[in-house]
Amino acid sequence: MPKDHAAPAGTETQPEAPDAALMALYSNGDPGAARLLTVRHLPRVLAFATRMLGDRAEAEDVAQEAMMRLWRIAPEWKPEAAKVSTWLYRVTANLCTDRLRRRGRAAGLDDTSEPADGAAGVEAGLIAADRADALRQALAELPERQRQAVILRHIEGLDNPAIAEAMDTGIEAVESLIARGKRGLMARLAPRRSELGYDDD
Amino acid sequence: MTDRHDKPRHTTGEEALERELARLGRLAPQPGPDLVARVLADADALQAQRHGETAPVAARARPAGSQWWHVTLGLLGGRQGLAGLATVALAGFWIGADPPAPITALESAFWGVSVTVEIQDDPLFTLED
Repeated sequence: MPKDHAAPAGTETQPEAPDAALMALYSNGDPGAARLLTVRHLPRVLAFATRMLGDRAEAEDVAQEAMMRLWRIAPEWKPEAAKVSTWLYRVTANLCTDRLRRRGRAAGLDDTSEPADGAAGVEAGLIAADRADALRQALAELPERQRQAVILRHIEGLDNPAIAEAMDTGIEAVESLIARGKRGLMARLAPRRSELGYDDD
Repeated sequence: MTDRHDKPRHTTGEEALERELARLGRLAPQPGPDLVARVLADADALQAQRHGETAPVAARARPAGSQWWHVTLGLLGGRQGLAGLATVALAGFWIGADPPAPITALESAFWGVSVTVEIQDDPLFTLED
């Protein structure tokens, strides 16, 4: 039975504290630091892992493991060496790569279909849902490194230097991966362009 | 005019694709309470393990009840040692001098502050008349 984590955060932890300060507080035993770091970073770690793996349960395992590694590294954390978010993306990417290699196949469609925007009409909503599914499918079919780069750039919103750090590569390589990835996506989506309503944009 | 040339030109298809990718980002799956609980349980367990083994006493939450006294008594040589310290401290008080320096240093190293008042309040440390 999991513990009740609704208890108030430690009095030393300030909600606006920078990540590096929270890492130090966690290392020093502050009970609220881990909660703030989790609130800040777990959603994006989970989202990235879900998009990479296409499987919610596996993505949750990866997200938990990535956060566990963050707790483990906390005492040796060097703020000048990396941002927590970038470090987590890198760890998550590596964990996903390991999983994908173990699977020996590309990720399938994920099970994260969410309801369409409530403001949209039914037909538009269906088209939007179809677009999202088609895009997930196309992403899943991309080579792994291209998929990582496209997700980090256009879904997670990282800039190219941060992506280069997260993927342990150079900025030019990132630019190339993104460009090839987008070309690959467009090629996969092109046959369904009218069906998915892109022509209305 | 120059602003338009600051960014690379996109084809319509590329712009549409980027818009769709951004839209997909807004549909990000959110962690459920079970996952959050697992992550925080990991954090708490590792923190407790780490501090239970290696943290300096001053950085720990102050132990309560009998555990607190176990640690204190052990460090001060048991009840007999504690009684000896009390005798010395009282003697220092009665002769109008400061408590002996070695005792003050020992207290400070352990708690970071003097514990004289709390020792006197505890029934374990009730002095014989």
